[in-house]
Amino acid sequence: MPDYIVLDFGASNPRQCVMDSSTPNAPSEEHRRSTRPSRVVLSKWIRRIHLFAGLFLAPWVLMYSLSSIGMIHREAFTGHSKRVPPEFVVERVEPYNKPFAEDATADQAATQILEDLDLAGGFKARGSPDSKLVITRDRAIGSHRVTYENAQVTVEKQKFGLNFFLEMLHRRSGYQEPYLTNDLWAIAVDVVIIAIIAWAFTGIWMWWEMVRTRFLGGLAFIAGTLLFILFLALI
Amino acid sequence: MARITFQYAVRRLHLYLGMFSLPWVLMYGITAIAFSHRDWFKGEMDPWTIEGEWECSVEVPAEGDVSRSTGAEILKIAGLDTTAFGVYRPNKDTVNINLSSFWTARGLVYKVDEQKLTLRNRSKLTGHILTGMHVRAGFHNGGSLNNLWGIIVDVVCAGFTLWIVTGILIWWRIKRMRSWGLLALGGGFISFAAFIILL
Repeated sequence: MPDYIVLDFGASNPRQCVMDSSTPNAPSEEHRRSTRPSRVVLSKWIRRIHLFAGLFLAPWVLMYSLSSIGMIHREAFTGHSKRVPPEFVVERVEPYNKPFAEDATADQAATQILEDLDLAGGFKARGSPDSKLVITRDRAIGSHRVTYENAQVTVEKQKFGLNFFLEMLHRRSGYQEPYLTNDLWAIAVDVVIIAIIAWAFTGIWMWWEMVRTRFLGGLAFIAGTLLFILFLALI
Repeated sequence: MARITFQYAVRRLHLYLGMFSLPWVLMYGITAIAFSHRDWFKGEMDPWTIEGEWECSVEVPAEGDVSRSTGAEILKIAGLDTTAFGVYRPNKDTVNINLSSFWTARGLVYKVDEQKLTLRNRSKLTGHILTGMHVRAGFHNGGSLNNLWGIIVDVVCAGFTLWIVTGILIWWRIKRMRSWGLLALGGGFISFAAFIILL
C-alpha cells in the first residue's frame, strides 16, 4: 500500500511519482491499481491542474479572500457599518463644445465624452445630454465622475481607499459592459469560479491518494460537511 | 509517527483546512455563478403570504439606524422570541426585521406612520437562495448559530489566503516545477495588474 505520492510533476517516467516506504515484495492490489500508467498519468494531470490553476489565479483568490474579510468586518476597518465611497476631488474643468448625434441617449453622449477625455471604459450615466449629464466611470484604482453641463465638463477623481478598492473588485462582474476588457475580466471571474470548484474535487483526489492522511482528512471532511448541513437546516 | 517539520505542518494545514472547509469552498464557487450570470437566474417572485398583522406603537428614532433592542421589542409584539434577526430601515417610515433563512424570505414590516406591523413570508427564487448564501456573513444577524456561521466564514476567508501561501511554499519545494510555476504565478499577477489598470 503506498504511503504517499511525491509531488514530482516533472518525473520523466510517471511511475516514479509513486513512492512507497514499505512496499512489500508482493505489491498489494491497491498498490498495483495506484501504479497503473493510466492512473498515474491522470493523477499527474490532476495535480498539475490543482497547482498551476492555484498559482495563476493566486491574485484573484487573494483579492476575493481579503475583500471578503474587509466586507464582513467593514466597521473594524473603516469605522462605518455601511459601504462609504471615498470622496471625489475636482481634477479639471474644461469647455466641451463637441456636438452629440441627434437624439443621442445619455449612454451614447457619455461614451463620446469619455472617449474625448481619454477615459473610455465601463460607466454609468444619469441625466440627459440636453441639460445635465453625470457619468461615473467605475475603476478599482479610483473612479472618475464627469459632469457635463452648459457646454462644460467637470472631471473629478475618487480618492483611493483600500477597503473600497478590494470591495469594488470583488463585486465587479463585467459581461454587462460593452468593452472587451470588461468581458475578459468576466471570463477571468468565471475561470476562478470553475477553479474553486475544481480545487475542491482535485483536492479530494489528492487527499485520497495519501493513505496516511485518509483517516484525519476524512474526519475533517465529515465534520465540515455535517456542520454545513446542520447550518442549512437550522439557520 | 512522522517527524513534524515546517514543511509537514504546511502540507497538513493545506490539506486539513481544505477538507474541513470543502462544503463552504464549493458553496462559494457555485453561488458565485449567480452573481456572474444573473440573467440565468431571473424569474417571477411568488407574492408575499401574510402570516399576521398587529397594531404597533414602538417608538423609533426620526431617522438613521434602528437598534437591535428596538427590533427585539417589535418581534415581541408579533409573538416571536428569537435573537437571530436583522433590522433594516429602507426609508424613514418603514422598519424591516428579517428573520434570515436560506430557503425562504420571512420577516416583519413595521409601517411607523400607520403604526401597523405585518409578518410575511415567501419562497426564494433559486438565484436568491444562491446569492443569499454567498453574502450571508452571520455576525449581523445575531444568535449563536449565526455567529458560529460567521466564524466559519472568517475561517474560510482566511483559508483561501492560507491555501495560496501554503500552496506557494509546497510548490517551491518541487524544484522541477519552479520555472513553470513561476511562469503561471507571474502570468497571473501581470494579468491581474493589467486588469486593474485597464478596467
